[in-house]
Amino acid sequence: MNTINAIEVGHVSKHYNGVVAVQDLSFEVHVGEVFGLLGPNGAGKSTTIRMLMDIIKPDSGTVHILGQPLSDSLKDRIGYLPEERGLYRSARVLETLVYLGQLKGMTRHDAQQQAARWLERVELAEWGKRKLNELSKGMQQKVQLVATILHRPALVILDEPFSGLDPLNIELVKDIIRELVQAGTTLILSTHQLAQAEALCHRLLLVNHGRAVLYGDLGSIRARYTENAVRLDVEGDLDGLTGVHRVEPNGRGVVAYLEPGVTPQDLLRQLVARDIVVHRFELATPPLDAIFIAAVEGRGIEGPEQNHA
Amino acid sequence: MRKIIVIALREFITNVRRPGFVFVTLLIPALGLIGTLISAFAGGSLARTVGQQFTPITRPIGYVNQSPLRLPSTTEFIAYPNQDVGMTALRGETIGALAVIPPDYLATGAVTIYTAGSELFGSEIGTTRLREFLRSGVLSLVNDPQVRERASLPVRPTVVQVGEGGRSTNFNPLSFIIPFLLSILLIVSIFTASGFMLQSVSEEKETRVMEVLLSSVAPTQLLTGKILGLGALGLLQVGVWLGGLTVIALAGLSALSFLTGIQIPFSTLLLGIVYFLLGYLLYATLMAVSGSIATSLREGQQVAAIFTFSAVMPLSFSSLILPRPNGPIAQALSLFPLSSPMMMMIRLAVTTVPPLEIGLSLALLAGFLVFAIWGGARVFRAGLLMYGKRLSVGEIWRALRTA
Repeated sequence: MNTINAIEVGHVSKHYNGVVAVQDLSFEVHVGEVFGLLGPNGAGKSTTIRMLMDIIKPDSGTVHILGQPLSDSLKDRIGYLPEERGLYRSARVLETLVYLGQLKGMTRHDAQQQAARWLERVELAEWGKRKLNELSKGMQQKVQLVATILHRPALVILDEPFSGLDPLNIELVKDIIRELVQAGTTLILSTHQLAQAEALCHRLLLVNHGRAVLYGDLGSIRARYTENAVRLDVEGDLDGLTGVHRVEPNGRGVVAYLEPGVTPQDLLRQLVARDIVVHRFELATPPLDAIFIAAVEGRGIEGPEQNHA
Repeated sequence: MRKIIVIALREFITNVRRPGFVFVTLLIPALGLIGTLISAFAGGSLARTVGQQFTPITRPIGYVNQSPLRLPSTTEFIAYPNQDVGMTALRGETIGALAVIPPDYLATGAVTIYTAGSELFGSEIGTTRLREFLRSGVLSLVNDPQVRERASLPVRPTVVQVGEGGRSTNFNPLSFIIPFLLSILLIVSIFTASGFMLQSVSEEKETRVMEVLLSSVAPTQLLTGKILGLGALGLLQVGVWLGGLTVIALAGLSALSFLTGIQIPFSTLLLGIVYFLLGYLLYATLMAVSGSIATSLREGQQVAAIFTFSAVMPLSFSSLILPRPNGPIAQALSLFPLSSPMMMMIRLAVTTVPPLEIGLSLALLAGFLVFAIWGGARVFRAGLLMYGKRLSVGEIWRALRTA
């Protein structure tokens, strides 16, 4: 099915006073997926998001949201949690939520109902009548998240949604993210905490110094950075296996590096044939952090979907 | 459009509840009311004191004439044969004061006046009455009736003010003061409303709520909503002031009763409103831009000081301007767009401004306003998301050039 992408970014660049913030960035976000916009602090993630939201105009390049250039009516279908948090300090929580909901095109009545519902969901029901500056920082974060998703947006952009949250609230936010995805919402998750992204994202874009470093399906990126090796925890002798050129100890087990053309399947067959007890047998995929470091240091290759036409 | 109204409503509701707004708005009618109440309290001694400053002593004045003047004895001026009888009458409160006119009065003019403690004979009004009485006594020594007439009424004034345009107007001090005060009130209202604009933009920038707002509305929508909401606030304030003062005046309460009967020509009023609205639009825009350039309210006020200074120039130079409301300083300030709304509101109140000058001033103001809104929206947009760092002159220039 040739569906419209939630976001299409084509060759977007942005400079600030001659300093590159984003350079020739292209990517797509598919409808209904969780897309990770990843990279270290200052990589250009927030600038990219602000260009998606039409808060900043790109110097060059195109941005299409839900198949069209961003317009005011389209803004109503997007929820955006900025990295720089902030709401009216001396205004009441519910009043603020209703105001922000109305600015997203909701009726006053609808905004009131949704705000009350979501405050309950994030365990802040009894705080609606309080002023924002009476709430703890974590509570304010949750209020801001509610403000982001109150109007049932089709596309939600969360910039560093976990920063400043305790582990319990991180789980709560993750749960809400999963609920939104289940309801068909497209999500862009921007974070420098790669481990969090790894657990949630389907596809991702890794940026560094404003340039794309890695782009694509999480699985295929992993595969690309996975050396032909298997992490093993076995009882038995591994000497003399065909197709294995090196075995290195790794933690409680070992990593077996396979020769080109040899598949893990071939190795498994030999293990079974030798009647070796296998406790663990897994592809030696590196964590996203390691992939990122490898890619930034130039050991990696650029994503195949990167179009340099 | 609906979002603009939502923004306007929020600005209005948030700011109308600010203690500062309530205080300034209620202060003016309250002052009028306090003055009225003081004079209305007939029983209060303070009221009597104040009242007597404005109304002549009703009790007659007694006198003992030892000079060659021939003075009549009337109900207002009662003659007594000697000081003792006069003093008895004063103590008996038959008269409010006793004047003793000595034999050498014609040569010296010396008169001794005895008053009861409570009578403020020393006030202007009391002495004026006695002075008139004695002057007619002195004049009765002159035979020529024309000399007598001129001496008692040396000037019968018809003041004709010659304006620059050759037009002349009759001069009435009250018709000068009242519109002048109204102009000052309008100027205060412009500053109040545009001050809230600065506060509002600074707050949204400082708390970072700005980025959330910009993900929902365009900068121009935000600016428009704020201008409408705070403009309504300014109109409400002016309405409360004028309404309150009018009600007090119409109620016939004495302290402000002099307000009734003052008429401002419709065309002047209309022009005043036009300048008020244009002035508000200009200053609200400039304050919004100042707020967006700066990183905090305090810094915003520093930036805004450039504009505020221009605006108060007509007031700070008023000692130079008011004697010559059509002079070169006044003319220059009426053409300079940053000061013209204030200057023109004052000039319209106190003089007749040549239509050509009004036209030129309005054209310059409108042209500058269009530029300010056009450029302001750009700088506003560029400045809104600059945190921790003030927008530099170069960045403002870049923002103005890029679409």
